[in-house]
Amino acid sequence: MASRGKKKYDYIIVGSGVAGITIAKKLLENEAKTTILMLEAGPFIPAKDRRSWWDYVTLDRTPYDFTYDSGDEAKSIGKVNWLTNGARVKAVGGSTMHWGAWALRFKPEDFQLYTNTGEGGDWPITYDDLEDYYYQAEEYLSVCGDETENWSPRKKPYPVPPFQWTAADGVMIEAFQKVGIKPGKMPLARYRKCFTTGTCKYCPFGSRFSAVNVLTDLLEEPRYSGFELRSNAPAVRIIAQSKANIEAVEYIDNKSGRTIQEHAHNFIICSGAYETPKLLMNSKNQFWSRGIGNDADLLGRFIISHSMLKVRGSTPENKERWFQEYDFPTLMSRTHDSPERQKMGKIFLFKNRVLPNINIAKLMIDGKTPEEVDKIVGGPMQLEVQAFMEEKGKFDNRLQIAAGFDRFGLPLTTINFNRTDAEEANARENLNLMTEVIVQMGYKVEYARTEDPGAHHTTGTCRMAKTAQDGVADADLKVHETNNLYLCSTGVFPSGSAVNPTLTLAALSIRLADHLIGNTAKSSLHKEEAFA
Amino acid sequence: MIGGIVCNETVDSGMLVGDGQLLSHADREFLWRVFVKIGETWRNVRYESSNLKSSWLEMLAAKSGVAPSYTAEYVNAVRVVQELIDMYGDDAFRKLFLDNHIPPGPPVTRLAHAKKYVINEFIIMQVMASGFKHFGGKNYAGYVKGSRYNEVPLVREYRPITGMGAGEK
Repeated sequence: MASRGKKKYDYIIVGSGVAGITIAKKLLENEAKTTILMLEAGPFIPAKDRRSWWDYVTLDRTPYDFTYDSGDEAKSIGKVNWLTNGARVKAVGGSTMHWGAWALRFKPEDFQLYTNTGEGGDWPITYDDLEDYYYQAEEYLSVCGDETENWSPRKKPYPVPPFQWTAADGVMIEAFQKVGIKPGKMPLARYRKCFTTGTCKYCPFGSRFSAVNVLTDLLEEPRYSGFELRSNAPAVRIIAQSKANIEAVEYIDNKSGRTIQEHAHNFIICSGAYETPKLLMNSKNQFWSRGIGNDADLLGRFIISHSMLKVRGSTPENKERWFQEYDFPTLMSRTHDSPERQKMGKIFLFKNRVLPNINIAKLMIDGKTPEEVDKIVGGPMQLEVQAFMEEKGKFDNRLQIAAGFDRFGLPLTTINFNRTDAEEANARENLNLMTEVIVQMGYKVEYARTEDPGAHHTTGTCRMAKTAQDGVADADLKVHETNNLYLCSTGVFPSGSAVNPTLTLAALSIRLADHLIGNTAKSSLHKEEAFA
Repeated sequence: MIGGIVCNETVDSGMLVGDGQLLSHADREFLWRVFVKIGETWRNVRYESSNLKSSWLEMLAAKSGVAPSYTAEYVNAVRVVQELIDMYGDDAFRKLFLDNHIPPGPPVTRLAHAKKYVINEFIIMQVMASGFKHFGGKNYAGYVKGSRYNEVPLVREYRPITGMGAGEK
């Protein structure tokens, strides 16, 4: 039997990643008295923790490693293996605990994938609808980018100048140019003051945006006394009063073991592309026999991510003693992320983020003398060109709930993912193009391969669409046929494009907050309504 | 394997329990001399590592003051290194760093514990904290050097005007 919370919040937000925290911040900044309950299944990982930092440096161990799915918690059951480990952080801050901070806009054609190719889905909004929100997101995340770039239309330059190409990028830049690929500078959300938290997996310096830092500010702000975070609190069910009206969310307090129902005027599910559809599927009731928003049986379907293509080359000498001095890529290209490539699957090219790399400390630990270390550092070197390849959503590629629960009290997951022969052929053609880059560098090709897709950039599982027959949420991210249930995760993306999804999610979050603020002005919120 | 009775004493392969213990000033200074020897052996530091001492002390405080504490491992390393010095004199550190004959696998002797939990971590910290510079490069994973808007570039940047792949050294 669930216990009942004592008040009715203005909003309940499920999930504390970049989407949930961004929406909460906007709502609170608009009206400080807004009451918000944020539920997070995972734990709060201490940041600015010196021990965590030193363990990261000396042991290559992050304080959130234990939150990743194990293979039996998110099982791959399709012909193409779906990677699990290292993909999803289940903790306060969500994916921003471990992301690389690559912050790229989608392109206009990405919003009309089905219209252009007959595959995947169309967005119910256009690039132009999102352009201003993209810029707001770039300011919010402090994105460092090249103001001269024109990969996606933009009305304003990037808010912060770009990271420059490293010396080790040079040979690949010139090879790109020889084969007609325009080199670009990677837009990165890496401007913040470095807190050396032990959570910056990819960050030698140029500290990346973390939603936890924003959340901490919100929780410490006295004016926002109506904002409350509950961690270790997996949401298990959404309770509907009628087909259209949601009244409560039920969650488990993992500290006490109690099941608790909390009530609100509005509900925003921001728990990622896995947990968002699963929560809706698990919320069957007299009004929604297949789960909320699932009358058309679309929840969990059309799952996509990025498959990574890799071509590695080697050269016998590293005279310049190059290594990738940043632990993130500075060289990229979107030449083949174009409307012309959309049918065969666009690719977003970049240089491997860690190569060339010599682990000097390991050589010393292994007992190599100074002379031996010197020789190895100037010896054989490897570089790798990589790409994310766009995948297109298919009805039969789907995420489902499996019997049982994980360590956080969330239902287990299965992923069924398959590719067509044509898609495999397209991947090989893209690898040929990338191989030509390595050949132009004068390097020996070590391998060219397609990696399995994984949970890193999952999209499509509760996609937005104009009608309930085509999607779960509408253009305002409200679940079709409901009045007060919103979804904001990468799961709502009808297409995944070839680039990382976080900037687009941040832009959608700001847009949703604006929509809610518009609604709030017309509603009866902020009256400190006691639950009757 | 090198060393004598102390070095070769069998112990559990798991981390030695030291929660609640404090590291004495004398042991800390002894370990600092071990750390300095790393730089002397690989000749990859300046100023006899003195510019790294505050950072090193901060690591020791973080590693020994919070559970699981490294204090027992640090105390063990002091005993191990002292025995090596007693046995080999000036050659002790060359043997410890370059010629220790510790078998691969989990650390089941005091010497192997000292190497895994103390020496190896000191080496990683030393390389990260600036030891990498001797081998090339301006930056390295884990190396934190303030704002990237310094006048001097923090990495070797691509300079296309001066030729293919030329970079500042």
